[in-house]
Amino acid sequence: MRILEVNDITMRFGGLTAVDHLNLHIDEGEILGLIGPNGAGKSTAFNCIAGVHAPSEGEINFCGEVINKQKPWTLCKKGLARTFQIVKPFATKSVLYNVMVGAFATTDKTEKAREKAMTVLDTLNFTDKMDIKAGNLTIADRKRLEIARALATEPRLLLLDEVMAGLRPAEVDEVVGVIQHIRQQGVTIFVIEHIMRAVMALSDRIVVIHFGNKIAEGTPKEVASDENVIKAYLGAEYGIS
Amino acid sequence: MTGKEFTASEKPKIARANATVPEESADSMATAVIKDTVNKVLLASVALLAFGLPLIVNSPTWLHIIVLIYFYAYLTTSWNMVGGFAGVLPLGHAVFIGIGAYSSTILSLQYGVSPWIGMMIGGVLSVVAGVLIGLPTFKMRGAYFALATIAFAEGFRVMVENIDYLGPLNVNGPRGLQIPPLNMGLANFMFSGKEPYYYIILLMLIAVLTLTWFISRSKLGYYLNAGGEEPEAAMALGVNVSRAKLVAMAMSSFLTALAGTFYAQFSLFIHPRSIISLDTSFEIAFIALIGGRGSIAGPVLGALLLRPVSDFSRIYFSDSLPGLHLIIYGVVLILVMIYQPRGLQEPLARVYDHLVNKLADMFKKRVIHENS
Repeated sequence: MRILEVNDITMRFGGLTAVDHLNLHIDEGEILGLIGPNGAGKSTAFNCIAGVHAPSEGEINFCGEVINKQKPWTLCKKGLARTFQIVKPFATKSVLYNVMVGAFATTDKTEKAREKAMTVLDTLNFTDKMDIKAGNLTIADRKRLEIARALATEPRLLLLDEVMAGLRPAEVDEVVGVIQHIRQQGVTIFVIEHIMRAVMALSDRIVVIHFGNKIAEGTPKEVASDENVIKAYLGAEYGIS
Repeated sequence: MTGKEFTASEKPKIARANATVPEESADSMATAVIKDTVNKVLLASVALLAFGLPLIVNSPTWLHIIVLIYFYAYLTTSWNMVGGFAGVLPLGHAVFIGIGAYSSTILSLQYGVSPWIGMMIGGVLSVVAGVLIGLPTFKMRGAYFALATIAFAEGFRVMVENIDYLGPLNVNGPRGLQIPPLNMGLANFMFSGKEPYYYIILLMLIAVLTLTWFISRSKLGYYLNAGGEEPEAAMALGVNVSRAKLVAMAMSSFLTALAGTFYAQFSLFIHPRSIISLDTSFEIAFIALIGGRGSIAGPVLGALLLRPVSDFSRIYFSDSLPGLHLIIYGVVLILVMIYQPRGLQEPLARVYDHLVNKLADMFKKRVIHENS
């Protein structure tokens, strides 16, 4: 079953066309990677799907429902959660508090929200830091907090916007493990990532965009050997190896 | 996890059942229990002191000053729901005081409605005003929001000053309204002594503090804090930030209007310059910022510290240096913002925590000593 269908969306900011007639879809249970050079329109596409921008043209379909003009908080309650490329923790509050804000998406009771948040923290091996103020976390932990908060809303589809940027290789491996674990729990994942090693290992399929256009789509292997992708993004060396 | 870290956390209730070292967990539980007891004993004695105070303090002047301290603590706590939790800086809350005071006074003077009923009507009118002000202004950020709220408050004051009759209602323009002290008694919210007023405002303060405590631990509290700190992230997590702010604004304006009625009945004379004054709006914000915005104790602490300054400077310097208290507030505010940007409640809470932890350690040592 297709959980998300993006039909021919275009997003213009004044004279700039950030996303240009983009088509893509995600099947339930899949991990889809979205890659492309800086400024290709990846985050804008994410923002359109998550309800931050309403696309200028086209239609977005989530679980069989058109969601073009819906607000982020409505979408979140319908099971569409996202993280931010530039992390936005509630800095003066503890890690637990941050995650509980997400957990309140599906409950009104504080105790219930706390329990759910604790479960999420447990899955992410984050329990030992739950009393630390989010503003005092390292960058790796802040990224992890972004995932934890989004996960606490009990999403069906999780949009991850560069959650591995700025991490050390060992930390990247850990996050890859975490994402695989989340998928095993039945969450569909749509991921923007620049670290090729990670995105190749994670994704079932990859979509490549350049100047807002889709230039390739396929399995990691197909995409890596695609001539256009190598020219636009990966560089010649990647194709040879 | 050591015992100290555990008790330093805000929520000692959530004992971690699966702590790795059971002995330490038991230790920290003991500390939590001791701390809980100390808190309760302290709270009970403060409540006892507050209720018994009029028996000790006989001078009406002193009682008057204390009533005003509670009054401002109440106002600031009401303000705190928007200004503290929702992370915006409203500087026009005098509007709601004015609506409350004028509603109940006009109704009781012209139609003989009990001020208690007028109080509720004023509260409801104030909610309408609060939502109407909130709808356009909550889209603004930072200083623009503050300026817009000032504009609303000043606009309202100028209107009241220039209206003698609003339909059948006698507003009496700049001359204000006098409440003749004829029918004393609880039903008429009018008393000859200061003590009844003292108890009424004390109960109002306790009620609003309890409400704040509940809100800060509820979904609304989490949503307000989240929306105030990082609106975009909050929205992505399912928070309708504007709606949460409007709900907070509605509650805050309702509660502030009740204080307006209280003030009208307490002073038995209201006029636009005293009741819808920018000074009052600013003083509320000063108290909150110095005491600690967004905390429960902050507004009370701020009022306890700042109101006496204001009263004594009025008593001793009103001839030579009128407005001295505002200068003192300004200096204190600058110092607090430089050295304790989250208000005075934070360092004091730390000191208090430290003392309680010490006490708990002492107590535990004695127990161990007795057992061995």
